[in-house]
Amino acid sequence: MNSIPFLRLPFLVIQEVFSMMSLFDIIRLARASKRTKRIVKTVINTIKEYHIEVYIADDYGIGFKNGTSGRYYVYTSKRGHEYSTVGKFIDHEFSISFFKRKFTYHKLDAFKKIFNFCQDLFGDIPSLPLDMNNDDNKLIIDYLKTKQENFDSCEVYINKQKNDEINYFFENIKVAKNLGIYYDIPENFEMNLPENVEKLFVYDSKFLQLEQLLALKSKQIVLNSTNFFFFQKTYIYSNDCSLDIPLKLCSSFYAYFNS
Amino acid sequence: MSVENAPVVDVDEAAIPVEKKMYYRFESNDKKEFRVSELAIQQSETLNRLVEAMGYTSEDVENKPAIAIENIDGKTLKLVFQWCEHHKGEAIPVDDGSVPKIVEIPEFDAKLMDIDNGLLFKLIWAADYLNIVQLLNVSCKKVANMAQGKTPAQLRRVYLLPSDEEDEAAKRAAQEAQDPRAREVEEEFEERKRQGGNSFF
Repeated sequence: MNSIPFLRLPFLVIQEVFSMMSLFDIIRLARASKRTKRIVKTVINTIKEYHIEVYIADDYGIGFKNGTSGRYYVYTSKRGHEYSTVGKFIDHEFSISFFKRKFTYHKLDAFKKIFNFCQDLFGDIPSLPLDMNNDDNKLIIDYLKTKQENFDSCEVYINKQKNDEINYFFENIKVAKNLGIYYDIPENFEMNLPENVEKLFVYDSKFLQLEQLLALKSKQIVLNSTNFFFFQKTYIYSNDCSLDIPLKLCSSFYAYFNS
Repeated sequence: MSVENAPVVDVDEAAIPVEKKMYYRFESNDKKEFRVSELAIQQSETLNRLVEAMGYTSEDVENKPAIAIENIDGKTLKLVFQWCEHHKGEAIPVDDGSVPKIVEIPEFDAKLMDIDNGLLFKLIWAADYLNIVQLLNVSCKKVANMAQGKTPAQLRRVYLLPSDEEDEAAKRAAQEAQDPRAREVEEEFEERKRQGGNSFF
């Protein structure tokens, strides 16, 4: 095999090479030896553009996003489909995600290993998209709690059959900046929404009670399919005191009503 | 070898001053001489500043000795100047900070870099030293491509990475070279540990 003495290149050149590698090649390089791990850690801290996130859905893994494209390295317990591409529109922008899957009978253990390694390499992982349509929600939440209790942003995709698990999630994991809660949430569901998250988006907010809404201290709230027919944007913006209004703290509020 | 006897390599015939084009003469550390057009030199920030500072006229170029580039050999410098001549007049790319950095390797560059990795290694050093941004980009991209999809064990072979044990051994050897007593002290320490002593002192 034709080889090149990589570590004898100037440091700035090594940095350049890293900036052209895929994140997964960098991770594999970090796993080659203690020395390469040290170098990767040093270089990676100078490249701030990597946006790392945990990926939990049917498969578990990690990924990184760059603008509207994302690349994910996930463990699966289903055979086949080693590679896949998923495209979708988010906020009128087309985003595309590339997946590389690795088969294992023990995807949770494999996930823990890769999470540990990435956390060691990159520091705390800022972002957590969590699709609760899996069998290990509580185990994953328990594990994440021991490793990293706080995430900057989180998108939770709720499974109707596992409502209790969403509350378990909010009890154990703190989301500081952006929280998105997606898809059909039963109307009578009592969700322990975190009150202090900076920006909150709820796709289907029929479950949300007025009392709960008023308790929120978020700076921005976007509610889809709300039941609050009596709300008017102007009403909120005018900070009418009759509402007793913690929402005064809220710089923007959008509610999209059921038609 | 004297400068007069040194082989002169015309990198690009078109660069010879048919229309009184300005060109410069450079000499590698193994005394190979190159004539390179002024436009091609602009691809290298280092050389461009150098020739600007020297302020040579066409007569100076002919009458004065070639500009010596001490730490690059003729084989490497030939590749560098071939690349510069091919890409002369092209804009120098500006890093927009996107990660991963998207770099395409044009066909000419791919052929130019179809060389053994020892020479590629020298080419990268030269591109870095001469500050030729796009040549550095494409050569780094080639090195980055070597890692694609490789396992850690394969990467150790491709990038000649020492294993942890080899690194440890090298560290010990370096320490010993610095202080010959170090190994004796370490052995003594290990011996005391085996005997159950808690403290070395």
